[in-house]
Amino acid sequence: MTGIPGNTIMPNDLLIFLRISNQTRKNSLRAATKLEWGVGIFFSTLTLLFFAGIGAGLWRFFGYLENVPYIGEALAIKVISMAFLSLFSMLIFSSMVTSFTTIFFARDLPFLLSTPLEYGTVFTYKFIETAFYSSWMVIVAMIPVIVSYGIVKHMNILFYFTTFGVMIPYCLVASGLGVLISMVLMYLFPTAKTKDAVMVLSVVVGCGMYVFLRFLEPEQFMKPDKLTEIVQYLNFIQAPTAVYLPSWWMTGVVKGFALHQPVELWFYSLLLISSGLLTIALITKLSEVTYFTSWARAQESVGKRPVVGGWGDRTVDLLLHLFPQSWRALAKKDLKLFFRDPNQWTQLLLLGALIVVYIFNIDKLPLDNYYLKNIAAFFNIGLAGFVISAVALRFVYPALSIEAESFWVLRSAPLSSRQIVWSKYWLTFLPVFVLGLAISVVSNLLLRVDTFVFWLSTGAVIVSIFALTGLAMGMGAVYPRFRVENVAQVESSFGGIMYMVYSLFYNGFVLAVLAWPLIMHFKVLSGMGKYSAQVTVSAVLTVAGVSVLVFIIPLIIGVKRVELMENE
Amino acid sequence: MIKTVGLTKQFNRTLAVDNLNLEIADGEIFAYLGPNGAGKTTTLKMLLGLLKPTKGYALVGGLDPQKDPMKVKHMTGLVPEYPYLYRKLTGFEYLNFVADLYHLPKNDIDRIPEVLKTFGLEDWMYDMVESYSHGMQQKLALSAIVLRQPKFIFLDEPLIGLDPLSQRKMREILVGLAKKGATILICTHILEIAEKVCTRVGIINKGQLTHIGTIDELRKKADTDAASGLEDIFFKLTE
Repeated sequence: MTGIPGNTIMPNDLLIFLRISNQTRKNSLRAATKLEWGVGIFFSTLTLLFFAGIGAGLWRFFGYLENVPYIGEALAIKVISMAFLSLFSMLIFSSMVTSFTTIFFARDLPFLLSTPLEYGTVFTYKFIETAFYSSWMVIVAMIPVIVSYGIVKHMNILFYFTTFGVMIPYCLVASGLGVLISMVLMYLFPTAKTKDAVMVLSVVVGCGMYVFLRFLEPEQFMKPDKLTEIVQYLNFIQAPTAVYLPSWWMTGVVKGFALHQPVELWFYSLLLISSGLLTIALITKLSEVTYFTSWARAQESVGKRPVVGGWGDRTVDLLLHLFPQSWRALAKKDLKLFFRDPNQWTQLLLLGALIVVYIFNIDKLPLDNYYLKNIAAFFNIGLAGFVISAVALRFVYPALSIEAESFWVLRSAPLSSRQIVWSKYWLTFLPVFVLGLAISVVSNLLLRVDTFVFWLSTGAVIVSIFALTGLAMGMGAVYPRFRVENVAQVESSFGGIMYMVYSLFYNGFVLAVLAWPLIMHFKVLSGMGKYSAQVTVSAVLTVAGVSVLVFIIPLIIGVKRVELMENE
Repeated sequence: MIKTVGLTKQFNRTLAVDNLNLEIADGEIFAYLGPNGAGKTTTLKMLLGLLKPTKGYALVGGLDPQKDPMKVKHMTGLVPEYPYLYRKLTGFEYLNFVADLYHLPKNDIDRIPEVLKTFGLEDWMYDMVESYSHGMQQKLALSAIVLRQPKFIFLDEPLIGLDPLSQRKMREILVGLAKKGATILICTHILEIAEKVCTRVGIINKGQLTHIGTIDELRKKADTDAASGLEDIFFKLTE
């Protein structure tokens, strides 16, 4: 070995890493409490049931296509190829984003690169880690597709082994491409800001695509009168999808088995395996030239100073002027942290895209009947409730957890638990309130509902916003997660899932109770009944009463929990 | 004055602090020494009201942190061993935030640049904390204490991560604050700081306060010669 670490990959050293990873996993399992095991088993069962459900649905779907003459077979292959294509592009994207954290900014890199390990070994280990983290979910997502198709086509065990086997090089090629992009970017712009810029760009492009695809109105293609050329349609489904991409090669393997085409099967299998190996060779070769240089230069980059005292700060100062000093301090701090972290503020872009598409969907509802429009507005209460729950899970629920390890600053300050929880509540309540009100009022206006339904649904949505945000804040305080890498881990924790379950129950309850005055209203309009103020008032009071409880009880428990947390 | 009476903390089967009886007078700099896991940080958290004692009680400035946590927090300042700060705030903004939380008057807020200069952070005050080294973050957390000048100061391993020049500066600052009447409790296993600035030393081991006194008194207890430093005394007393 020479004095300077080189780029050779040392298999023995790689094995050490794999052994350590394995040991870490074993220790985590051993250290898990009974509650953690219980939660783990609960969610695993839930996930299994979910995938089983998807698989059953796909089995019916493929079974149906099997009996459709002429186009059934081609359509099934088309669906599989589209699934592989979507996952391939998602995999490139997720590997690119993950690789910034794992390959260039991982916390253990200063230690690893200070040891006499070959840089090539460190890079390969990090690449394997990236490929694993980005790919396992893709493989899991494809299980119901492959298994249901295999059952319909009466495939033998060799089909499953081969298909899932060649998915490994398929994932490696996609991960390799993602990592390749990040390597080039980090070589050209070796700074932590590159990671942020890629993230922001991805969210902007993602939101743009989401809105654009919705504006294309894909449902129009399902209408027979829109299919001017049936031959064109047949050509489309029979043509291969992106023939030069591994997603089509994967489809080729599946097709080779299903249609008994051994040449195609062997060709695409070997193509995938050789491409996987070639990708690894290519990126490890590139890493020899770029990896250490990029990493070292990224260490030297100095962050840009934030703009202080600009119009944003002045506006916040003005808006918060009337609030108490400590509340103002917390709010200003939280706003600064939010708008300086691209992981956080880009969520507002997603929120914007969500509102646009939501309202567009309402506008495009094919309703030309007075009753249908009013019924749609009524069911919109439930849909809006669901959207509010999802947004509250993103903004309100993690409000306390994002204090992370800096929570000691607030704990040792003269702030009561009530002040901490409520100040965070009001601050995060605002975006949810704006969203909820916007989707409710605009939907009602677009649907041209009558005054009774307008106020019933708008009132219900306003009350739901309070209840669902109170529930989110309270549960977020009861189940805080201070030691997480990112906010997504807070949302997907046990408390986050339970919040979604409770909020679904609440939304269902609101709809069930308010259906009562709505039915009465329709009966009055059609001359089949009389208006009863008692029905309306009792339904509204029931919803309001339960909503007050859903709002206040979790917040009281949350405040108490933070208080106890300080004394534990 | 800081006083503890029979202060005890038990975590499941571990007795972290066992029947602690301690009095620290106003203006005193008290070193709380002990090996890792001796119960130093647990004591400190109970004094701040962040942990509830299993038995006994503590008084800080005559107030029980369990009964009057807000008043106690107004009078106290803490620098934990790992002072995680808000990474996306600048040093200047962090101190401003602290000033607002503790309702400091305007003239104290105007002192922020001066306080940061004391710790050599003036060139970094408009940079975000995420670009600070561990030592710089430690200095920023200490700056908050200097800005506030609370009556009771609790420092958990305050010198870890500081360069020798900053360590000396820190010692001078602590002596200055004590002269102005602040009571300072320093949890540490670095004996040098205890030797150089502290008026009295308490040695805790396995949750029990085994020895307390000035360095001269401890030297006598340990039966070591006049030239022996705190390190020799510590080893003798804890062996």
